[in-house]
Formats: sequence, C-alpha cells, structure tokens
Amino acid sequence: MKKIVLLIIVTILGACSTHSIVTDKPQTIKSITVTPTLIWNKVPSNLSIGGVPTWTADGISLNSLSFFSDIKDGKTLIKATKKEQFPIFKADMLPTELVELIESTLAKAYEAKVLSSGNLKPLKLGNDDGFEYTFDFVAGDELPRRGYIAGAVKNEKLHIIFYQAARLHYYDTRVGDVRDIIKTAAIKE
Amino acid sequence: MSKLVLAYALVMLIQPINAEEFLRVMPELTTNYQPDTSGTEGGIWLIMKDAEEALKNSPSRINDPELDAYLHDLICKLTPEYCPEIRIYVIRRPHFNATMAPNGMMQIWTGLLLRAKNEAQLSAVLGHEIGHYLRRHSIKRFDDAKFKTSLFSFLTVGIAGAVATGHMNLNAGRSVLDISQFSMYASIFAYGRAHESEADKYGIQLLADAGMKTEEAAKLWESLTAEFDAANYKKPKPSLFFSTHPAPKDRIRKLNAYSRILSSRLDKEESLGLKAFQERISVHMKTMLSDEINLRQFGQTQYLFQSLLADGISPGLVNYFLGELHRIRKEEGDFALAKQYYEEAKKYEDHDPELYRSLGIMYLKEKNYTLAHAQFSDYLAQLPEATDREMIEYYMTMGR
Repeated sequence: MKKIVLLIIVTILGACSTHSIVTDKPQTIKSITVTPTLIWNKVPSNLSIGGVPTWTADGISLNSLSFFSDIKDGKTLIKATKKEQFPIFKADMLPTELVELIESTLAKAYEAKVLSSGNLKPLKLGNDDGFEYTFDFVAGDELPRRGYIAGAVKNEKLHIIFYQAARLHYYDTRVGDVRDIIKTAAIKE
Repeated sequence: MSKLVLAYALVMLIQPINAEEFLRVMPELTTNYQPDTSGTEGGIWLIMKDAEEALKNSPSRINDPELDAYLHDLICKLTPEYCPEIRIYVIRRPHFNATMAPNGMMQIWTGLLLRAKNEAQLSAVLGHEIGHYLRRHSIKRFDDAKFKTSLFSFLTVGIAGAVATGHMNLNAGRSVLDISQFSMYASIFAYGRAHESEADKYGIQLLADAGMKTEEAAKLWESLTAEFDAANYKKPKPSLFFSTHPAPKDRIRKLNAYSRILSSRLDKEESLGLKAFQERISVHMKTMLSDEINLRQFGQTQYLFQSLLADGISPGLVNYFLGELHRIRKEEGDFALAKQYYEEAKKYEDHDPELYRSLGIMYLKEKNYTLAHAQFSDYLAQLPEATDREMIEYYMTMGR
C-alpha cells in the first residue's frame, strides 16, 4: 500500500513541469555548444518557444533564449501542422532571406509584428560565418519586445540562437550575458 | 419532398427585391445614449471602456492622427447626428475585418484598408458597422443565453491562456486586442444572417445619403470572394470571411439590388472618393503590403496585389512587393517574374530602394557577381543610412 501511495506521489510530482538550473559547464543543444553563466534556467518544453530548447533568466514571459538547431533544407523553424503555412528554410538562403524567414515565422506562429528591424551584420559563430541582427516587435500579448538573433548555416543546416525580452528593462539586463554566451558558441562538424 | 424544398430555396434565392420593399432601416439608439449602469448592458459598456483605454495605447494601433481624423470625417459624412459617439481605431492586422463594440468603439484592421479600393467601399463597411451599433445588434445577441455561454468560455480561455499557452509564450495571456475583439460579437462577421443583412442595408442607405457610389458595396464583396477563390490552399482554410453568413453570393445579390433602387432615387452623380482615400492610406502602404507578404498566402496575395496594380494603387510599391512575392515563393519561373516586377517598379517614383537589395540577392544566388555588386551599390547609394550596410558590404566581397 505504501508503495502505491509513493508511486502516486512520484507520478504527481513528475507530472509537474519544472524549470531546472543550467550549469556553467559547456551545454550541448543538438549541434550547438555554448558555455553560459549561472543565471539561466531550462524551460519545460511545453512552455518553450516553438517547442525548441529554451532557457530563461527572469521568467519566460520576460526573457528567453532559444536554440533552433539543425534545421534541414525544406523544413520549417517551428513544427507546423498541415494547415499552417510556415515558411520553409532553404540551404542556399542568404542572411537577408533568413531574417525574412524568421520574421514571417514569428508573424505566422505568434501574430508578431515587426516594428523595426536592423543591424544585420556578419558574425562568426565559432569558426563559421554567420550573422546577427536585432529587431523590435510586438506579439499577441501586446508587450513591446526586442529580439536579438545570431545564426549560421553549416552543412546545409540552419542554427539559430534567439534571445527575446521585454524591451523595457529586461532586454538590456541580459543582452550582455547573451552576447558572452554567443562568443562561446560552436557548431559541431 | 427534398426537390420541393430545393425548388423553394431557389425561388427564395432569386426573388427580386422591389423598390417598394426597400423600407428605410431606422436607428434604435437615441443620440447620446447611455445605458443603465446597473444593468447587463451597463456592465458591458464598462468592460468596453477599460478595453478601449488600453487599445488607445496598444502598440498594434496605427498611430496616425490624420488617418483617424479622415476616418472620423467619413463617419460624420455617413451619420452626422451620431458621429460624436463613434470612436475609430486602426489596428495593424493583415486580415479583412472591422469590429464595432456596443459602446461605439470601432476597430478597422489594416487588412481591410488594403482591400477597400476607394472611399465608397470603405464607407460601405463603416456604414455596416454603424448599422450594427445603431440597431443594437450586439446587445440583442447578448440576450441569447447560448451566446452568454460562449462569452463565458471566452473569458475562461482568456484567464487560462495566461498560464496554459506558455508554449506560445509570446502570446501568453489574452491581449487587450483580443478583449476588445470580444467586441467580435459585434464583428462584421459574427452576427446572424438577419443582423448582417440589416447592417448591409443600413450601410448602403448611409452610402446613398452621403452621395457615395452605392454599387461599390457589392463590388467589395465580389473582389473579396475572388481573392479567397485564388487562395492556393489544398483545403480552404476556414476563415472569418467564409464562416460568416449570409453567403457572399446572396449578400452581393442583395447589395446590388439595394444599390439599383437607391441610385435611381438620387438626382446627382455619386462619388467614389478614390484620390482622398489613396492619399490617406499611401503612407501605410509599405507596412500593409509587407504584413500581407509575411502571411505567406501566395495565391491570395498575388491576386490582391495584381488587383491593386490594375487599380493603379501605389504602382512602385505594389510592383516591388509582387517582385518580393515571386522571389520568396521560389517556384518555377518565379525568379524571372520577380526581376520583371522589380524592373517595372523602378519606373515609378514611389518605388522602394530595397528592391535594389532584392535584385542584388537574386544575382548573387545566380553567381552573377558583377550585376549583384552593381545592385548592392545602388541600394547603398540610395539608402546610405541602411542598417544592414555591413552585411551588404560583405555580400559585395563575395565572388571577388
């Protein structure tokens, strides 16, 4: 009987989605490896953006860092149902086109409206040529947000690190930390 | 038996509307109407008042006092006695919709502004919404117990949404837009057949009062139907437009019949209001076209853009965005078409310098580095403050 009660308790606890701490050791997310500082928490997958591995420092509604890794040619950034027409990644896309892909995906999935987009420039992600850019947007919850994206295409696969936060206070608070993480990023061969 | 029913339905469908039957629909609200604050209607007005305060500062609201003033003037043309009670907000949402709350708060979505081709078509929608307001349709609908149930569900979803939709955490919770959409029960789409028809009739009689071309009301619905028919979904996406009633065909038939009756009673030429309308929305054209492209509904969007072009609306910008559509779609023959549209766009003063960047990207992908370099140079020359300058300069080193 005791065993059954214990089993029920464990099952109930197990069912609760919890955040877990991200350590300051190198973290591997599919093909991306980064070394973070000790401020991040893993967000349960049912709460993450597009279901991809996502971390937060201050709470998922305030800021998040998501890893879209190993997106193959012909696939969408976010898993789409048959009815959803999310834009498709093509391996020959240039950074300008990748920005269009990201913004359209956010528009389709989250009704995001880009208020301003800019500072698209080259960036090394590990040893690979990539890009970075910043944009201001508002999604369905009407909270003005700022996004920062670093990405690269390697071996015909797209890898993106996407930081987004409330524009007021929270973006600036953590963006330095995010840039430090991106400096440590490497994409597996 | 079923044949009899079908025959009856067909007879009803093609039944002509006689001029004598066109009795004017009268408002049910007095001017400066205020509901009893202790009743249900008063409660709804209070909710709407809060939603409206938040809507005023919504980042999704198009902040253009001149556009607001223009739209309000149109409302005053349509209904001079009630116009002080109607407030209008333009919302950046790339779908065809307008909503009216029972307290006189009207929302016009940018997707509607993009599709209305002239002042008369826009006014047909405004008049329709005024009809819902003055005939108190939302309050009448609210009295329906079934509707109360769905309203309760809506609010429940709203509260649960803040927690449960975390996986779409950018959307966590219901926004004020959605709460004011809750005026969706006053949406152009959400009423029953009788209320929609009545609002159509109200709208078109206001058009006639204001001396605007009444035949434009049906034309708006005709072009919407054609646009949705051009959608390239394998399975048509259920849209607000199609889930509504009356069926578009019936609506068009009735509006045309009303138009013939009302036009015959006018002794002056009706106005279209093309120039004023185009001037007013032209400043938002780039945002609206760009939002439409982001929907990635290429068949529908292609139809819409081509019809804008046929009407001579912002040819430089529309050609550019047709180029964008083909460049992004990447189907067979699209690259050639994209280039044609970009080149065509260059002929107009309102073309967007970003088209040089798009051309550069296309040439770069074709490994035509000389032409790519030339287009990128043009882009940077025309937009020296371009925020992606570093990336463009990087592209210009490629293949060299």
